Amino acid sequence: MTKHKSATLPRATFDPIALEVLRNRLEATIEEAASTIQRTAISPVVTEGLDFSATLLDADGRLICGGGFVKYHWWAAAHAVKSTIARYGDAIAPGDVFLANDPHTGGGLHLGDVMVQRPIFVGNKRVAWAALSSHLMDIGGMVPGSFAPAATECFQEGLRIPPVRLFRADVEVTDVWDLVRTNIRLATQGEMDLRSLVAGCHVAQERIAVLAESMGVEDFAAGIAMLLESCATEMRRRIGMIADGTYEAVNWAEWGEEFFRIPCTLVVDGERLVFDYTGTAPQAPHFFNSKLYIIESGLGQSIGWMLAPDLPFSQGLFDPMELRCPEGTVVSSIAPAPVNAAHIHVAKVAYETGVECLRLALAASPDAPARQYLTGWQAGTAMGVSTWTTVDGSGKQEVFLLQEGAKSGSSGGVGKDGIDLAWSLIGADFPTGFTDIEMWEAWYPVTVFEKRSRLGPNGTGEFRSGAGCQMVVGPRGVDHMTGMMLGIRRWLPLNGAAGGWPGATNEFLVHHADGTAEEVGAQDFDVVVQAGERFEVRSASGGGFGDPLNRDAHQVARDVEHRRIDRADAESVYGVVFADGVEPDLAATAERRHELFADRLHRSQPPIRPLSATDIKRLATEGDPLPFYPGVVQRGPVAFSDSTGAVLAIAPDHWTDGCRVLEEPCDREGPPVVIRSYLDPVSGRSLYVEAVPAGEPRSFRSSPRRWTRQVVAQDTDGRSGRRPSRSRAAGSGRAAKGRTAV
Amino acid sequence: MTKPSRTKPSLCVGVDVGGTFTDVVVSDGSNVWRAKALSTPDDVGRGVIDACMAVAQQLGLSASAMLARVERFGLGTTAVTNALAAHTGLRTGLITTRGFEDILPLSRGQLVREDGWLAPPAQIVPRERIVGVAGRIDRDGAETEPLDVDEVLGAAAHLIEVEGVEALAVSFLWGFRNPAHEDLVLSAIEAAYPGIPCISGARLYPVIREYERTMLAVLNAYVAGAFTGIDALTGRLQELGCKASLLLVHSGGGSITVPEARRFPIGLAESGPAAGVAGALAVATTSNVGDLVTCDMGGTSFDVSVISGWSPTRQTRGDLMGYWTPLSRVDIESIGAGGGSIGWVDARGMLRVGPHSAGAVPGPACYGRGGEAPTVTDALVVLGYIDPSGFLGGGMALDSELATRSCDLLGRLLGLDPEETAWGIRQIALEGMARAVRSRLVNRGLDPRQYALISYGGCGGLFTADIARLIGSPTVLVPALASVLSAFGAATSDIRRERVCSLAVPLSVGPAPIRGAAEDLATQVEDDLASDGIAAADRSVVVEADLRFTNQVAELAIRLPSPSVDAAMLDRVQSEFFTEYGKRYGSGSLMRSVPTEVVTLRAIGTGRTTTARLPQRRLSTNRTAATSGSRSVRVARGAGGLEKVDLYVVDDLGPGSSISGPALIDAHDTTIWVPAGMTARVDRWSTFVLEVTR
Repeated sequence: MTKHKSATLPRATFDPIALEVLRNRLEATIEEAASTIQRTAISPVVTEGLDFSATLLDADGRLICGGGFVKYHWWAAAHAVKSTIARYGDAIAPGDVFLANDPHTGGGLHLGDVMVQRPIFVGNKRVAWAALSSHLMDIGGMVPGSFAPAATECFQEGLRIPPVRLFRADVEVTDVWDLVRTNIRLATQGEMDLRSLVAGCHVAQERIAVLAESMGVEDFAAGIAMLLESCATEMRRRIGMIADGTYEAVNWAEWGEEFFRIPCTLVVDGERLVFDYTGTAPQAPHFFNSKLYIIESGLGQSIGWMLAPDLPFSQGLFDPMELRCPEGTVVSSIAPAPVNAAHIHVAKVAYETGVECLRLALAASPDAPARQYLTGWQAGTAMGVSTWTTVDGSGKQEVFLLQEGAKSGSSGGVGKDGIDLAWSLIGADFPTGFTDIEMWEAWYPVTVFEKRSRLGPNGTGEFRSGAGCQMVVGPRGVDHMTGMMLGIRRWLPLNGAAGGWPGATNEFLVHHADGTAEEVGAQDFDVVVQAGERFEVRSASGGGFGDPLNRDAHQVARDVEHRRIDRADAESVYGVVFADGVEPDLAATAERRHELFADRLHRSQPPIRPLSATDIKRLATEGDPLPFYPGVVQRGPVAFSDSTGAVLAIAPDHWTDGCRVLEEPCDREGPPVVIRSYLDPVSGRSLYVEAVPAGEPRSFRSSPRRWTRQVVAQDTDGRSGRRPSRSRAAGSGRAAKGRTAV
Repeated sequence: MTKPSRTKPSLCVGVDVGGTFTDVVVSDGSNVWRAKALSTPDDVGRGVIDACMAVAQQLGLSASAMLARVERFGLGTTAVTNALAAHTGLRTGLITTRGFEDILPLSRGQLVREDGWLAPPAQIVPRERIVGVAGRIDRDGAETEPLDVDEVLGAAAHLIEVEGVEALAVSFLWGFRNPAHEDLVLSAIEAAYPGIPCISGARLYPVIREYERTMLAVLNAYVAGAFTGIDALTGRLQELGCKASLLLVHSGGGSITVPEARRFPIGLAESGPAAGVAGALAVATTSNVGDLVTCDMGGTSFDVSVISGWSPTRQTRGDLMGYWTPLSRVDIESIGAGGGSIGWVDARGMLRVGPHSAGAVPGPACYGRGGEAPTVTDALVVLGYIDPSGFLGGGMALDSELATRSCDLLGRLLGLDPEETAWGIRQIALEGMARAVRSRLVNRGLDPRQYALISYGGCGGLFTADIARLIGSPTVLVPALASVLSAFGAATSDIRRERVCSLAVPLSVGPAPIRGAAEDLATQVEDDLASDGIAAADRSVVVEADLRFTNQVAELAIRLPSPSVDAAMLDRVQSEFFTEYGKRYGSGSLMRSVPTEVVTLRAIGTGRTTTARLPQRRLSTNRTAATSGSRSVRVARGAGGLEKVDLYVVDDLGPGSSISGPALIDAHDTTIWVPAGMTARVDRWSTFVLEVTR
């Protein structure tokens, strides 16, 4: 990735006023380019789904700012432009417009997200680039819509376009347009949408050229460099407040009943973040394979949102960050790996695993303001959309997307319950629009029988998750409808945080006319729903925050009143007991919770490294406690449970080593997954809860340098303070057991 | 003091009840008087009467003598706005289709709050006050599952007796297509609970899209109680001898009678801003400008709306104070930039302005009420644009030292001196406003070079000329009534009645069903106007069709030549749709093979009323404008940026006066900045017209 250059710039020309004015004008311009797309594109995925973006880059392809609705595109745009520069170098001339879509050679997020790029010139001097992207409804390949779960090679997925010219010196390269038109379905619509991107590029060229010329091209470049640098400087300062150390997490992508291991190790070193995905599963013949820049884009978006919600989203956010993704794995696949879901499957698992590493680091960083944003895993990284095809009596075909399946419920966070249906299809902070049921029924041959927030506990915790969407639909006026599931997180739920339980997984069901129901796999295609039958999607949720047995009993009562959960859930999951009426019986609740904590301890395994009283006595435990993880503090070389004072570990062992461990299988069909909670050995309160494929060891490790460097004095039985940990680390590269695929 | 003309004794009164002040404008056709009084939020009518007494004094009349001569009394009110903003509406419950009870609580889009978290949607009806009942109507209006009235009564009993609701809304899927189920609910509730207002979504606003139709019904029920103050005012005005019945400005920019407002109170949610646009249009019309952007800069916000072809841009679906509704209204965008907007330094060390505002309390530092952060107003004082002794016509003295000190404190963080800091605050506020105005136009495919700007509200006059220069707009209008334009709008807007009906049929369906619906709507609106007391000769009704390509989201309103639709008319409508669409989205974006759909029909009735007029004066072609001194104003950064500019007082100017910039014009409670290279002249209606000097 691009490193920042030291600023040897005419600083005197710029100050906090001029730079802010410049930023305002640059952002206004790219928003204008984006609005041009919205006005001139014609396909509903753009005009209604708002799946488009415009990105402004400097002369070398460094990200200045973006507009439109899909921030996920912006870093991909930077990658696309850098690929174009690498391929064409000095041959890039005024009036050129480039097109690319192939992630293997320089495209956008997937084949459908075409990148139209225009170098912006003042005279013969290139001063910037505009790169515009929208999702073409079809880009050719083996199935309409080009999402082909059955593809085993990228050649089957659609037209692969390396950076090529659509215009050369303002003259249309008609050969290329013909080639594209010939190879895609809905060619007229596709061409119009492409032209809308070209139109947006022209708007950016005109406005930026005038601005750069009025400032002078040298000053324009210097001003942009200073804007990016000011952001990078602040980003580095914020990273500097995160505790140095190594933080590891592992998670798994799913295909059918197979798991694909994706470990991440984050090294926080001064003002740098390095995310290393070494140990990731090899690429596989499924369209879920991804690319480094796509994971970086998702990671940058999430990290920007946690560390820098107030900073302009620009190159400056990415400069202090590095990704390492070994080639030939699902996180950095090479051709001919199929990649048309490169942005919505493995990528989501991978970047969210990286974000979990950052959350572990923030949890151990007393000085980092961003620790206030601790939550469970982002629910936007679970999705359960499906596409459907119907043919009516006259032979008319309809293809439509049930996007409500992507509306998972967000994880709980510090002091906050999650929000229902809060996460978008793409991008964390823009939820795509809701479909009106009447519009849907008017457009498509379907009836909607139910649409609600998913019932049941979802991700439980002191602060619970929101609920995903639960929707039931059936064919109307046609014999049947045929579906293709684009789902992830069928088996392995998203984790919570701070001892909150993992969330709900995506579920797809067909209800037969006889009242029976049949489960559908998350990547199944040719799912047929006959007239009189119904299809149901129950979309996933994130996890809870904090132990559910610590949830305020009145909040639980309110959830019952709102019919989110019933009283049986309230008692079994939250330990809340009701007498008469809607108010909880607080005395009975305290009693019940006491029993549930005791029961947990009774059923749990003893710590892998129990500590004796003498261990503790000889250790100095003075000084201020430092946070290690919510509920866990470090005093010198000792990790304690914050609420009971129970000693959990002595440095450099992992703090979970002194926890009792409760492992419970997920009660359902399919590949075995266990929910494992690390308990305070005294109270039974959950401190960290993880969902892992059965047989997998602990899936995270938090090793702040201030902890691993603690030296414990030699004691009488000869045990040294610096000893290799016997606990199992995540991301160590060891082969997975059980039904995992690695 | 000007005496009211004896030959035209009837008066038009317009009142705008704002958060702080209640403004009043009185016109007799040849003269205009204005006054202000403090608003009285606990009893709206008191502030209104106070304002009337103040203005009557200027006419040399008692309040009752003045009111006896009033032929029209128009009111822009924040009563409904306040109920929504302060969440003081009635405790409301909803009965809806079973299986869909969660839809309303799931908002459209979440807000990212300032602290970085997503905000859960505002809940006007929490989930426990929503009950689903069996019964389905399908998309063709056919009943597929019957409604059980006993179940409805059970739901109502629960909501009223257990949940304690004070108002009910009922809204079912496809109810607009066949309101039979909602009608059954209405009559059952009315019989069982006569004291509880019950609003049917299908009857209130029969348009497709369940979420927004339901939301509007719920909101209408919620604000049903916001009307007590208006009723009291009506009584007081009658006691004082006012024979004119009160007219209220609604969000659509027209007026409605009190009974209609009581039926549809949510229509008043944007009454004040809509009145401002109506006033702006009235002024622009006299100056013969039909394409313009209205720029209303107040203490906390900068409100922008576009008028094209003498017609305010309208919006039929969108966010209304945080709630997504289908309410047809004037499309006004508000950004957080006003006189009270605060300058601050962000994490990168850059200077930023707003959206935080010092509000009225503590207000800008120069108010001397304890505010320490520098605001836009403070910057304008430091830079010399605002005369601290002459603020609000001298009614309020400002402390320029406090202004300078606040800029100094901020400047230390930036390494800038107070004047440079003040310059930066003004410049960055200006960039933000210019960006808002420009994007308002270009996002609709409109060319800023063909649009004038009209400026009103607090300190707009100090910015609008520079905004125009930044975006390439040729002309700026500053009305003489700039500081009370909403009140003037309330005195000038005609009665406007609307009814809608969702069709959702392809244009190819042929004229018969469209004609049937259009004629029904037109007749109903004609009857509405008649019931408002509008004589037949003063009534006019037009019907619009909202068209779009099938499956699109955005719709275009095309006016039907008459409700008597025939095949030839549909052909014309089709081709007009293609033309408009091409104009707006580029002709290359047209796909004629996609069927065109008629989504909604809307009948708009206008009832001509007696309205206030701007007084017209004789244009003196050879009037010289005498300066009343000069002031040192910073017109550019750095050394040499300080310039002595001529100062004019509006009373010394008259129609025909012409002033070359740089100059400042003190126009009572507002100041106008004329930059170098621009000329300001006063037209026959006392409007300042600023243009680039030729």
